[in-house]
Amino acid sequence: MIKEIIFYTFSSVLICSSLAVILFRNPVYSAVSLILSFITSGFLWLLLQAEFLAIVLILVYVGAVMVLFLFVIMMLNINNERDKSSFNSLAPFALFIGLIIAAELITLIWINSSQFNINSLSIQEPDQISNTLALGKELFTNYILSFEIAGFILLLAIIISISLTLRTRKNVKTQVASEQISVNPSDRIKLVDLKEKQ
Amino acid sequence: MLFNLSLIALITPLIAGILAGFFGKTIGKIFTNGATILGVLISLIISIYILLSILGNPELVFNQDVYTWLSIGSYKLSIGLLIDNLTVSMMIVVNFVSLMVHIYTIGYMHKDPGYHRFFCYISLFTFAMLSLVMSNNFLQLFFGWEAVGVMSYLLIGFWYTKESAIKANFKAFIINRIGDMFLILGIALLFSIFGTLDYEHIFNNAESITSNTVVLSSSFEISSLTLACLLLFGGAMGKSAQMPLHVWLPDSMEGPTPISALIHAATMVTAGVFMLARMSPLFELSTTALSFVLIIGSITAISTGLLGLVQHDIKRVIAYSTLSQLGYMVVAAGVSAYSASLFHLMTHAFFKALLFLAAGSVIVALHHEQDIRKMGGLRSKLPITYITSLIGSLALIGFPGFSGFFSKDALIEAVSHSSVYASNFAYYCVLIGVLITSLYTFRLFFLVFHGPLKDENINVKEPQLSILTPLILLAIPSMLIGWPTIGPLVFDDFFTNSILQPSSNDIFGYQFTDSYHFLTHSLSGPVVYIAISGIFVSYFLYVLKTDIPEKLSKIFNPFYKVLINKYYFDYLYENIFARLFNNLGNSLWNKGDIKIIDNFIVNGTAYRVGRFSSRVRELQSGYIYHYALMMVLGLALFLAWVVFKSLGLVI
Amino acid sequence: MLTLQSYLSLAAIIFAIGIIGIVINRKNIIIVMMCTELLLISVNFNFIAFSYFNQDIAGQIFVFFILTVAAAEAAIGLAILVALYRNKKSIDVQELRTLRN
Repeated sequence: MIKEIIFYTFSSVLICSSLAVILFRNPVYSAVSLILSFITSGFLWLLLQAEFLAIVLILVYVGAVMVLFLFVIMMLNINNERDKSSFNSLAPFALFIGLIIAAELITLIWINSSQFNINSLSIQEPDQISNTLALGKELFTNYILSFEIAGFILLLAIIISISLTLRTRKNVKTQVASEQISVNPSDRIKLVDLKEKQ
Repeated sequence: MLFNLSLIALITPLIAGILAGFFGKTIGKIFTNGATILGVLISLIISIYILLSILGNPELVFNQDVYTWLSIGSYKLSIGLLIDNLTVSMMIVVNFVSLMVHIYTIGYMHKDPGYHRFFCYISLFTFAMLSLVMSNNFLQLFFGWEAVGVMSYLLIGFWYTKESAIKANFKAFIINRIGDMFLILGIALLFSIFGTLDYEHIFNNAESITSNTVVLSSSFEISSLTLACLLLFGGAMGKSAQMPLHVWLPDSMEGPTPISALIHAATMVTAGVFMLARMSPLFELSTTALSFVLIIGSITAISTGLLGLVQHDIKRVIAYSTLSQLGYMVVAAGVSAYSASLFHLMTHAFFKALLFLAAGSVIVALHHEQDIRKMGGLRSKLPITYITSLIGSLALIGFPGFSGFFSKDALIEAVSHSSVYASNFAYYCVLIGVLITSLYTFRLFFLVFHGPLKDENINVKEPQLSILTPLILLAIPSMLIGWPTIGPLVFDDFFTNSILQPSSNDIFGYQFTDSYHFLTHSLSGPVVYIAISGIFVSYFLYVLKTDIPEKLSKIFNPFYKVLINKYYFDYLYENIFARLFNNLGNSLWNKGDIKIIDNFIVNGTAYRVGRFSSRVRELQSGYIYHYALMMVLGLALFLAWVVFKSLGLVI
Repeated sequence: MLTLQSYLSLAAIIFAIGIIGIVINRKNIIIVMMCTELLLISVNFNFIAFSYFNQDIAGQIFVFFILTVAAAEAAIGLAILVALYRNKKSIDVQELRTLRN
């Protein structure tokens, strides 16, 4: 019973905050709504015994990615001047199609439910092994290669982000160490033989 | 052994020709003509050797494939050699005349900038002609046929800066195309019937298809064998310049004189006659085709001879004479006297090459003057040319004892005994032709060598030795070759292994035994006296009373006009056929090509694609949310499909 | 009684909201990127729900990787955005029409 209460509460919050993401005119509000969505999703995931992923979602997404979003929004400083025409002319049409997709998806879910082969009774309560441990065991044995690739993708992301945003500024005084240590004395000092005045 | 030798005989002129063509400038004139003459000489010696071996033991005759050129499914097209008596005699004629012309060319062309090119061409021509006569299948025959055509084209237009030469070679090429089209249609017909192009197979099975017919239209059927023979003869008409495809040969005299001797008198133009002889097993089965051959040949023989009477160009007169003699050969083939036809071909090759080379000698001596009205009285200035020309002329008209006498009289004898449809007509044609032959031959002879010497020709003297040597070498066979060869060639069975001659048509076998017998027989017939009377008439007309021909031409003015315009054949071709095709081509070009293909199909397609694309491009608005909407739309449709599928509403 | 269907339906609703957000937005690319995050979240929901109801940890592994890739994508996307803004002085969806022609 308590689970149902938690589920419906948080799912209504999640839907509302998701709507808020797309309806707010100010991107900062949108971003904050998205954070709320992530947090409520995390709670819902906890219900599904995915503790590790719920924590990761909140830590990584809210803590890092969304901060990045907010940072970019503020850095670009484009949040203030917004007019009424923030929705384009396709809005009714898009709304219609979105609703159709939702209807279609839900129809599919309900008419195909017999094929899911779910036996709710077989769902066990969490055993001695914690979710994190189980996930870790799988990740570092069966999925080790994919794990390595994921790490590599993150590395790539770092490199790409830096190289995209990096720019060399003009008229900035910096030290170039390699040039400094490879100078010759003769470049710096020139001995001039001054003749006596006669 | 013989197989390898004949391969060598075939290949050496090719190698020499390539050598002369590609390296002529580097190896110099002497090496160029040395190499090519050596090539042809080797080929000639091998040919003679093969002839001697085959005469000794006839079982050495062979028919062997060299290699398979192409095989499509069960069809196999090979390159092969068929060496029999017919081939060998042709090889000797070709190589001998070619050798003479090679030697002659050294003198004739020694100042020409295209010296190497010329040697290259004539060597390649020799190769092509050899491959034509040595082939054992229709494909290779066609290759040789086309290759000699190409060489003829190149050599007629040898002086390519001369406009008339270019026009002449163009004309020769186009008219030959018409003939070649018939030839390849005939070959295709045979291929469709027999499934092979091999002579041996086709000739052996020819009798089994005599009842075969080809339906040309719903109401008109024709025996396929007759059709094939007529088509093949169409090819021969082009190459051997029979009426009405003869118009290219007189114009081909624009080429250098050695070429006229080699290609347009002795060898290439006789390829058609050779082919008729080679195809004798087919032609013998179709009397219709034989009659057609006979009629065409006799018309050519008489009408082109008449044209020779009014020409003023020394080479053109001889060219018309060649046409007329080719007509004789075709007539002989038409009455199934193939051996007489080939015999005349051989003697004609010698004396006509001699006449051409002698004409060339006169032309060289007079610094490339070809108009016989500007000649005359050259007898004392050019004694060797005079004597050799006399020999050639006597051989041409068939003076008793000369080579042409034997061949021509044998030929006329055969016509007189023939019972083929239209053989009577042919007989009178060739009889009148004899008179005409001797008239134009001695008209030319007297006009050039007799009469008063023109002032500008006072300093004329004999050309150099390399020009005179071939004249003498050719004069000997022209005079004597008839005596030893008529017996075995015509009366005996020299050609029986290569030519099918039905015994009903074999009029020589039982009548004559040797050349003396034939000589005495002929002296009792009209032919010799007609020929000799022709000499006297032309002596009277062109030496004694030189004003009569002009009066005659005025009296018979309409007839003379027809002759001087060559029966209006050129006029007809140029103004009717050529103009028709020109207009047709122009309208096809303007309407078909430019309007339909270019503007409608090619550019039209591009234009419509462009129009369509520019419409479609409107979809590319550049707005990201448009693209996103399209994606979403696609997703919605896909999901709808899945939903309907789950509900079982669609398949 | 919470069933798999309730979770999946919730995910479907979030997904539809994300899609609508992508299409109707006309001003700000950042909003589009946030909507992408919403889509990813809804997909992750499905994975986790199936993982739970099937008692199969593989679903969570997938989510783990999706989160990783999504983080990378967000980082790169934002970097591109910054570069774009530097060049165009705008991240207005309506003004970015260089795809045209």
